[in-house]
Amino acid sequence: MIGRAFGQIGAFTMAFFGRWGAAVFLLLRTLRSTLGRPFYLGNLFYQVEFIGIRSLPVVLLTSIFTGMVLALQIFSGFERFGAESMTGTVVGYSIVRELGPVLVGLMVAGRAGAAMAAELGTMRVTQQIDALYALSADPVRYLIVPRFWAGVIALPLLVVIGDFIGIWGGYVVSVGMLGANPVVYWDNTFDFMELWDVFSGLIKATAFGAIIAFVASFQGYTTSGGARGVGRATTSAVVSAATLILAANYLITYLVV
Amino acid sequence: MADERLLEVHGLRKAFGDNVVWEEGNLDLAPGETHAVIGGSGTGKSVLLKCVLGLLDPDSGSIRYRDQELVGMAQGERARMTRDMGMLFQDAALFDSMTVGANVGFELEQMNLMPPKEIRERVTEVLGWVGLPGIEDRDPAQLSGGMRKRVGLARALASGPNLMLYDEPTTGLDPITSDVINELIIYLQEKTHTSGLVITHDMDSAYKIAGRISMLYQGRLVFTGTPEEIRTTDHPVVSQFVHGRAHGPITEGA
Repeated sequence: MIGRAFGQIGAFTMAFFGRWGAAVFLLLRTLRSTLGRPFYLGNLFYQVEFIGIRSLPVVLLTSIFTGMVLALQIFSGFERFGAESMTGTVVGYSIVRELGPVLVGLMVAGRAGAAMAAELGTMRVTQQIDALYALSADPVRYLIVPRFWAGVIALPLLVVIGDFIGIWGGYVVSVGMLGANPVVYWDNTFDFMELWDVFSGLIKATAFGAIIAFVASFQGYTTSGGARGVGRATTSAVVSAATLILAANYLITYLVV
Repeated sequence: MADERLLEVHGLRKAFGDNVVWEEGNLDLAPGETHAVIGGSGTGKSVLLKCVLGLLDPDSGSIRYRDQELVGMAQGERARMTRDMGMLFQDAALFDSMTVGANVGFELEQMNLMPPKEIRERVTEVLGWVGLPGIEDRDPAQLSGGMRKRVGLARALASGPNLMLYDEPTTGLDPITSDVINELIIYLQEKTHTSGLVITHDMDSAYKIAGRISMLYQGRLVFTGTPEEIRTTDHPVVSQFVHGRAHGPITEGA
């Protein structure tokens, strides 16, 4: 009965809001399916590994270069009014609150989001998603639920690692190349940093993880039109995930920070 | 009469936008029978299978399976009905992220229908049925088209369905491999006592495996009969189709 009512509400929503409606409907279905059984724990672990661990290299590279260039820029800028001792503070603050989550989010959207959309899209056009249904596995539960929660779990973990590496990159440039005092640099980095700064970044990371995994899953799941359709789905997954990340970043900053 | 029917489709209507693929579909299937639906490419034959399986909801009409109405059935109930059916997809639709063995055992494993050891035995058994013993560890990508179809058959049969749905079982295969698949379908139906609903445009295949054949034309099943009746009918549409003539009512719009 409830399933039926849900179906009718879904059909109604879709007719009204087209693709956005379909996305909202799929999101609701994903959240609802999370609670029921079976929960495909193996798929979740696999996806956490795929989104999280295998994104580490790209996250590390992005973070270290971001930290390094920030230190370079801020040091030379602050030197003009003799505040170069504050470099560590500003590098840490910018990475933890803003650049860490956003850049990691964008990189993961490009790496894992694209792969996810292409995989699900191919499964759709080769009828593997239909086959899941025919073999009594709910495709949303089997494919989308694990990806969604893997995104939500993996992104904050990646951002924490990225934050550390970014701050360390800033330290190396400031102390090693620009001659800043190591003790003062560390003190200024952490004395002014509040727990909330880190936290707000992690809230962002969680939201970005949900956005990447869901947008990619949605684009892949609703693919049609063969190989070209898979290409289209992959492109729109990356573009719309990146756009939504930037928009959500502003919104979250405005609302909670 | 009604209780002798495994599947009854009545007044099935399904349209995609302005494209009405099923105007009014009526069809029934007795236990153990194999029924083929023939029709031109792109006329929406496989929509029938998708409606029976539950991948699509018909716009209106009724689909009764074992005397229970499937259209509008609650999701959980519907899932139980689907479990009683198996489907062979057009390109087999094997999961390319898994081995052949994991594909064949997929439903048994994910539904927890039996312990892992028995699943392995069952997988070995059904792969033996389709003449591909010992390929459990192969990757689906390494298989030829005919082998993929056979693995797809094994996968659909592993959980012991009562109704098999075949979507173009011989399309894209060479004549010899097609015939191997036809023979296999007949052999497996006798062995497992399953009924079959076949969608095809391969007449040799339809003649061989089906007890009755219906022709879909302009959203309706315009003719139903035994292979012999289909072969010899003077119904202009059916006759043009089964004899593969370029000129006739189908192409010249009578």
